[in-house]
Amino acid sequence: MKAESQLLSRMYHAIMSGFVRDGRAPHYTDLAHRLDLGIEDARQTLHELIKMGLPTWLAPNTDYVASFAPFSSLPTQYLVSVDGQQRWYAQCGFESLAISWLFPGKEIRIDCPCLDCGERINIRMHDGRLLAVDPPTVVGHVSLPAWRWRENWAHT
Amino acid sequence: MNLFRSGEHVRGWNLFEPGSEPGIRPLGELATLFTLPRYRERLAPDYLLRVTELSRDLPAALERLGRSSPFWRMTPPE
Repeated sequence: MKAESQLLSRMYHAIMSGFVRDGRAPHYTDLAHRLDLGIEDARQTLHELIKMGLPTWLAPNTDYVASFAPFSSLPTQYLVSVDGQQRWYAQCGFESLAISWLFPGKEIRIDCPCLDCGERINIRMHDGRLLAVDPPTVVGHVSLPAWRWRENWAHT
Repeated sequence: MNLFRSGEHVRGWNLFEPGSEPGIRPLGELATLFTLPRYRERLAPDYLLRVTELSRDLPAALERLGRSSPFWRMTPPE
């Protein structure tokens, strides 16, 4: 089965909506149910979607969505809270800054440790706007140049 | 792509590679990058169908973020 672009788009939306709702990616059997697909068709469509080159990936040698920008199904150090409830993990520090768009009108909080010293970093955002950053000196860092990001999103 | 308490903390990180110094950017500038349509529109039902169009501004925004450093270009140096 070769999935059509409309189906890939519907699956992308179902996964993103699932993350917003549940804090984790839906399993492909759930996607089959939501998209009215056969279970194997859903599994194959998921693999096609992941191969498109967006910052998404499966856990190695599985059908489980490990990461789907800006979210992660696996716990990362980037804890995201919405209205005081911590249920989400950001894919990385940079993508954590994109999560507030998925919760319009709500305040989100990002809590993470500094990888150098382990001390806390706290950020509050609302519809893409920074409300507070503690400490105010926080920076982001990427080890690879931009032209190499797509080689291996997980490593980037 | 990680967050640190300051640039000094990045440089003190045991996995820091000196060649990645241009990869350190202030949080406010990164937050501006993530206001692009590519990041804002992810919940749109037709996002995937439009992602190429929505990403059109990304290369220029990365160049601005990196002050034209080759480190932030999406094409490899010649």
